[in-house]
Amino acid sequence: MKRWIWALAALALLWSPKSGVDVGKLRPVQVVRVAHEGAQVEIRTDVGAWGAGMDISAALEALHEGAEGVVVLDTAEYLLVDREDPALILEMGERLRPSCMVCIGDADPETVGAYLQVHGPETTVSLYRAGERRLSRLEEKDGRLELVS
Amino acid sequence: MGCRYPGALTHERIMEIFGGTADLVARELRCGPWSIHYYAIDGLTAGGDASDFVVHPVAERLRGDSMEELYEQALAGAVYNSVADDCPDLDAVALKLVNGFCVLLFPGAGAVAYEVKTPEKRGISPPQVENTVKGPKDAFVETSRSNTSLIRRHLRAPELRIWETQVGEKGLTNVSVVWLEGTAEPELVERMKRRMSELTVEALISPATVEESVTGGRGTAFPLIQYTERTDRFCQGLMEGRIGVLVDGLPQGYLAPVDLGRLMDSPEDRSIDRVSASCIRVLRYLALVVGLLLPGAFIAMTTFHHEMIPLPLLRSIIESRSSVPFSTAVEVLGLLVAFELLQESGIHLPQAIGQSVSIIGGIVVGTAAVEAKLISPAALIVVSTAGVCGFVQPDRALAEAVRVWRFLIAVLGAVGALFGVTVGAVALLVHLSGLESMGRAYLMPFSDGAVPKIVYGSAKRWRAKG
Repeated sequence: MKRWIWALAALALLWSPKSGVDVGKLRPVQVVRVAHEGAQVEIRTDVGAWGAGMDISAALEALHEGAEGVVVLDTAEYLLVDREDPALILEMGERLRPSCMVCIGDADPETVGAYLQVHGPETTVSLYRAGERRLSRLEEKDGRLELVS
Repeated sequence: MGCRYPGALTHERIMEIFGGTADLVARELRCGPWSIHYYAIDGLTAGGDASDFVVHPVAERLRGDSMEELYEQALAGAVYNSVADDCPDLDAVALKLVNGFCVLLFPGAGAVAYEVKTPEKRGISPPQVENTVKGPKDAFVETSRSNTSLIRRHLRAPELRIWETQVGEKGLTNVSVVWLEGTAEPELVERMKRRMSELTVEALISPATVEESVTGGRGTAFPLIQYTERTDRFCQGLMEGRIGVLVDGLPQGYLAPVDLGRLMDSPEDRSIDRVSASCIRVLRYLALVVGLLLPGAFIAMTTFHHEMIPLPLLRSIIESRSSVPFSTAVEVLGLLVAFELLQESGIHLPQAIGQSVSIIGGIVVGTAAVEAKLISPAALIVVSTAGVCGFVQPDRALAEAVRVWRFLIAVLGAVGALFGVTVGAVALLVHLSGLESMGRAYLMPFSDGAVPKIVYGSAKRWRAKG
């Protein structure tokens, strides 16, 4: 009996996950900014990774390819969009947590994290998906950030 | 034990057995027309006592018409010594001499051994390893007879039984089996006696030899016999019906059977109130689990299951690891090895230097390694926490087994993620449930699922009995 248990354990270990990523290589994102650049969509993150493409999927693919380490979008807390584009927000929202907060703005994502943590917008991806369309606007006046409802 | 030294009981044969060793004292004593031989081993016997209580009475009081008459008188009390043992053969003579007796040989009649052991031995000192704040401060010493006297002082019960034998084909080590008649199971006593009688080792000198000899060829890191340097703990074990073993030359007593619950008991539990003792015991079990699983779980979670780590914690771990060149698995396993090396160096060095090495290793090298970004603070904290949890274990042998399994589970965590850790934990459970100590299951206290009883009831039981 004991031998069987050992054999089963060894066999099970052979099927264990092998594709681990060391935590040091992870780049957990806090702020994602999605902007329209002509016909293309550009995605920037607060960890410095960015990518552009004809749609969200292509931009994300470029972002992951060009990034140093593994960019983790599941951890994003804020989504900035340069203008209110429901289709874009909903599509990007699919890739983020439902509790991720959405606002309009084109500030550098690397600099706004701390501000948004204190003065975060109220609309989340899930609320937006449910029909809530009132989005706050993040504006930059005289070098200072301001969230306008 | 078979006959080691065949042949007639003569002066020539005795001298031949000891082969002209420098510390054998042999002299001829005259009793009227008769000459008898005196033997002793210098250093084991007290010269003054031998002169006063053996040589002097022989010269003054022993008179007779034949060697047989002298022999009878010496055995009957003409030589005034509390112990006068007849030595019927060469084996008995040799054994008495190496145990600190002096022997008088009456050629053609027989030999008599008198106890004149030297009082030189290490004094009774406080326990070095099993320290407690409260409670008795006497620990076992290397002399078996001193240890039995310590037990007698703690347990003044006429039911205390001591059975002695010599173990070791070359070493002839005195081994005592100790038990409390009426409390210990007779079957266990017989089993231990039989095991001691059947031992075929050269000598019982090192603790590992004793443990392996008593428990048999054990394929486990877990202790199947408990050792203690504390006499009160030993006596407590005897009162619980366990069998004790004392080995001459080793400053500790052994208790069997043993199970995991007993290994988790600390003598300190008896010194504090029941509620506090129970809480500390829960903490100790928690430390056992954390010490075993923490490094493996940390490797698994930081390599395979990032989503299980709360985001703020994950961010700080990532930040601390961002410049470290090694993977978490290499880092944690390396630190575990370094931790073991530090522990080993601390044990083998003199106490003063050992402390310095610990400080240099723990603080200087650890801090420097973190600052040089060779290791991350998170990994250092995890390994240190696991190490500290190991030190919480009251039994050193158990703590060492935990060290081995901690390493194994960490490797499994690196290979198979949390699944690997689970496999390791289940394997450990299977391994432990298959262990037996003198026929008793190792996990016996947990088998009826009465964990609260183990934690609370055990403290209560100790209080009631102890």
